[in-house]
Formats: sequence, C-alpha cells, structure tokens
Amino acid sequence: MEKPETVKVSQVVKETPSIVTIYFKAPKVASLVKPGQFLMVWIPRVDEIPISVSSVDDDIVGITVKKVGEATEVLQKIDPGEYIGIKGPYGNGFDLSQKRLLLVGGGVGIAPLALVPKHHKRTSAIVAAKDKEELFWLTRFKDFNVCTDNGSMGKKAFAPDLLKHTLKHEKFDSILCCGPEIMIKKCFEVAQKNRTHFQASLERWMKCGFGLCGSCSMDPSGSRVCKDGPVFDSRALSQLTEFGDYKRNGSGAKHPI
Amino acid sequence: MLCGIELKNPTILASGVLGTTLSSLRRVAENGAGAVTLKSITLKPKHGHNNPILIEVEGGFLNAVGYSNPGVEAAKKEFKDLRTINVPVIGSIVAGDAKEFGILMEKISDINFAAIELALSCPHTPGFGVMAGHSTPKAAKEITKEVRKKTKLPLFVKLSPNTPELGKIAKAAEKGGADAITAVNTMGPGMVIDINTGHHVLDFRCGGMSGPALKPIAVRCVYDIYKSVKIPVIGVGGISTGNDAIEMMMAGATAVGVGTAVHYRGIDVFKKISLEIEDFMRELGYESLDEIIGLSHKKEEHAKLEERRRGRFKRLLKRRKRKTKKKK
Repeated sequence: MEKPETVKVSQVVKETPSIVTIYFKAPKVASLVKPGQFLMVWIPRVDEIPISVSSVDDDIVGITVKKVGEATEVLQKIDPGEYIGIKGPYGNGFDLSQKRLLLVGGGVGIAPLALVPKHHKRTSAIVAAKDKEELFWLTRFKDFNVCTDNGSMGKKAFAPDLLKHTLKHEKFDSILCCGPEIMIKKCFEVAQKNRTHFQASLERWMKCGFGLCGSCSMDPSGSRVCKDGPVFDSRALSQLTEFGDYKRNGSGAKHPI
Repeated sequence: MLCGIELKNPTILASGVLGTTLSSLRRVAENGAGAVTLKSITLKPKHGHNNPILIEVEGGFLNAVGYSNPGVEAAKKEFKDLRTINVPVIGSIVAGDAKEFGILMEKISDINFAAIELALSCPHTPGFGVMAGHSTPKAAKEITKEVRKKTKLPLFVKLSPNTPELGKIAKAAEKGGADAITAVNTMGPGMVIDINTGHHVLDFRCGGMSGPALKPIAVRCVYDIYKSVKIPVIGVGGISTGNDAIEMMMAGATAVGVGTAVHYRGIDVFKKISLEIEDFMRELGYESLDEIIGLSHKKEEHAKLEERRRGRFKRLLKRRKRKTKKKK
C-alpha cells in the first residue's frame, strides 16, 4: 500500500550544526532498501518529503536531513518517541555492478553514499563540504579524500577539482555522485572528459513519490525522478536537457538552478 | 472518431496523471495513448495542497492535489508546441465561475489543442468544481455556454459521480453546447486517519477516490448519461484492463480515460489495454468498436422487446384459450 506507515523515532543524532540523522525501526525497509533509494517521509500536519536512506543496522533505518525548508526544519527538532510516516523504499538506487567505485558526495549528499561501502567492497570516496563543521561520517568510508570550500579541512577545493585530480592518478569503473546539482553537473563534465561511467542522484519537486502525478518529470524525456530515477547514468544525464539548468516548483513553474 | 477527432485507439490519458509537462505528455503518447489530457490549468499559478496529496487505500487511491499548476501564462509557454506529440492533446481548464472559464478559454485559444475539457467536478479544492457548486444542471449549462462562445473546438464536460442529478447535469451541458461528456471524476471524497497519531493523512484531510472501486460507479454513470444525452460519452473511472474498457464501452462510452492504472501496470498501460481490446474483439468476433459501444443498451432494448413480444404472445394464447372454451 502506497500509504505512510507511522513509526516511532528511536534516536536523533546531530551530525553538524545543520544536519541530523533520525533513526527508527522499520524491518521491511531495512531488508529491501538499496543505496540511493529514498523514503517519502511524512511529518503529520506539515508535509511529506523524499529523503534518502543513509543508514541500515539490523532493522533500524536512518535518514539524514539538512535544514532547507519547513518540513526539514521540523525534522531537525524532532524528538525520540515522536512519530513520522514512511512510504517506500522508492526509486532505482545506484548501480553497484561495476568493480571499482568512486563515491563523490557534497554536503549532506554524502549521506546516501555512506550506505554503499556496506554493499560493495572496492570503494573510494571524495567528501566535499563548505566548512569542516559540515563534514560528518568520514569514518564510514575506508578510503577517502576531503576537500572544503574554505580549506578548513583537507584540500581547499571544490569536489569537481578534486575529482579531476583523483582521476589523473587512479582509474575507476563508475563514479557515484550526490550533492548540489551544480556540483553534480561539473563532476559529470569531468567524468565525461575522462570517459568514466558516471551516475548521480537527482532531486526534483516530488508529490506522490511513486510515479503517478508527474510533478518530478524531467525534460525532454519525461523521466520521473521518483520512479525512473533518482539515479541517472551518463547516458540518461547527457539527454536530460534540464539537468543543471532549471527545475520546477510545486506548481510546476520553472526556476533556474 | 470522437467529436471529429481521430483516435488511433480508444484510450485517453485522464486529466491529473502525468499531464504536468509537454515531455511527460509526449512520453505517455509514445506509450500508446490514443489521446492525452493535460493536468487542469487555472488562471493564476496554484501550489495546490501540501503533501501527502495521494495515498493508496483498499480498492484504489485517494487524492487531493488541489489543482497545482503554473497558471495559464506559464502553460502557454509549456504547451506552445504540441506538434512533437503524435496524438491529439486535450486541454483541461478549471475556474471559479462561468466568466472566469470564458476568460481562461480566450487565453488558451492560441494553443493548438484538439479539444477542451471543462472540469466541473473536483471534490476537494475550495473554489472549484463540486466545492464551488459547479455540479448542478444550471451551473453546467451556464459554464458550457460561456466557453462555447469563446471557442469552436470540441468541448468535453467532465462530471462528478457524486450527484443524483447526473443525467440532468449531462443534459444541461449538452444544451449549453458540450460535444461530449467525460464521466466521471473521482468519487467521495474519502478520508484516512493514521491510528498511531490520530492525524488525518491527506494534507487536505479528504480526497477523491479513483481506481478499481470507482469502476462500477463509473460504469453506471456512463450508462445513465448515455441514456439521457445524444452526444458521446468518455468513460473514466477504474479502468485498468482491456476488459474494463470493453465494459465501459458497452455502457455507452465512445472512448475511455485511464489514470490510476498507470500505477498498477506502468506507463505502457495504454498499449496493453489497446492490445487487450483487440484480443477480445478477435476472440468474440467483433469487427468494429461501434458494435461494442452502447451494446448493453441495445441488449436491454432487445430484451424488453422480446418480453413485450412474449407478453403479447401470452395474451394471444389466453384469448385463444378463452375462445376455444366458449366454443365448447
């Protein structure tokens, strides 16, 4: 049933000043979810928004949320014992069939990628953030490189620059990317130049979450981010004309990215 | 053929599902729809209700989207070039009253739609449809008449099943100048409460019901409307398979709308339904859809005639018996 099932929040962990991880017991989700898939998370009387699963431990599932709007603000302040509704897991998730994977995450975008090392042995990571305060979960990656916009930790660089540098020295079979769309777009260009397979998780305004309403469909193919995505590979990305250019809001009006 | 519009098959994408952008409509057309309908356009941009807007229940879905759309000016840009869609595109509009419907019609008249659908039937958006009192014979006639003045395109009027006056409303729309009736919109509204928290789940509290549970209601509505008007009926409500479509057509539908079934069977549900209709026709030896459309009415008339004939025969027999008795 595509209907939110309410679960009790078991633990809330503050990862950075603007990011929290919310844990709850959800055996079904825990057994089904693949890295890159998401849940529609309902905050009663507020809203329902898509959030990637970032952690699975036995039957405890975690979602990591950054404050961006009304719903995420309420989620920042949620306490253990309160209820949230979950629907899913939805979407296609990352393709983990390749041998050597490079994970590239920006900001809260490293959260869904943090699930990959559990499912795949040969992974390296590039973790990017504005500031060292916004970095979290580095220990989840066995082999990682850090960069920050202001150089407060790791290299002073943006993710695409570090990616370019990394690809000069090492070869990967696929790059898995998640973060702000401008960062994804630039990383994609780097990957294209290096002829490395690339896949990225995109965000669009979702309503139903399971492919019926059409509000997250992208131009020109009409691909639904919730159902056909949220992960799109090099081929799909190079055909999506709105990727890195514009997106639609809740009414369907276009806005530049 | 539907109001002079050539359809390569009788499946039409119903309004409200995947009809938000040109790309999305094109994808549905490529997946076998005979025609596609836009998600309804309003004069001003509308954000609609907050999430959740759509939830599954026993027998279908409840939705309360709240007519989210970017407004007519943005829609004019979005749907400027419909030539990339290889099937007829039906423009759907909603407004608060007849006058506003007229203004909206004028504004979209430069988009190359094949037909216009007037939604008079949404059960869950304040200021529109049922909640604005559009589901009465008087309002239906008034609105259709006003839009009729502004366009020569075929006009479809979409009605709600939640009224005992359905036949009258359809007739009023026909008098107002409608070229077809789309029947039906969602039923209800219904409501779902989360029992762990006691909160209602849909943001708008209640929502219109679509899906398999709506089908028998829709079939009955189409049947009733077919009886009361001369214009074609487009049957919508719970159609997921070729058999569902055949049933709806036997009730009197010339074409069928498909929406919720996209969830059950994928975007190519249109292709699947069309093939299933063809299979059914081949198996039962039908040569044309015309033999199927309204068949149930023909059967009923036939049965009535038979009964009358049998009644007459019985009366004759009785008379003869009486006569023979007298002779004795």
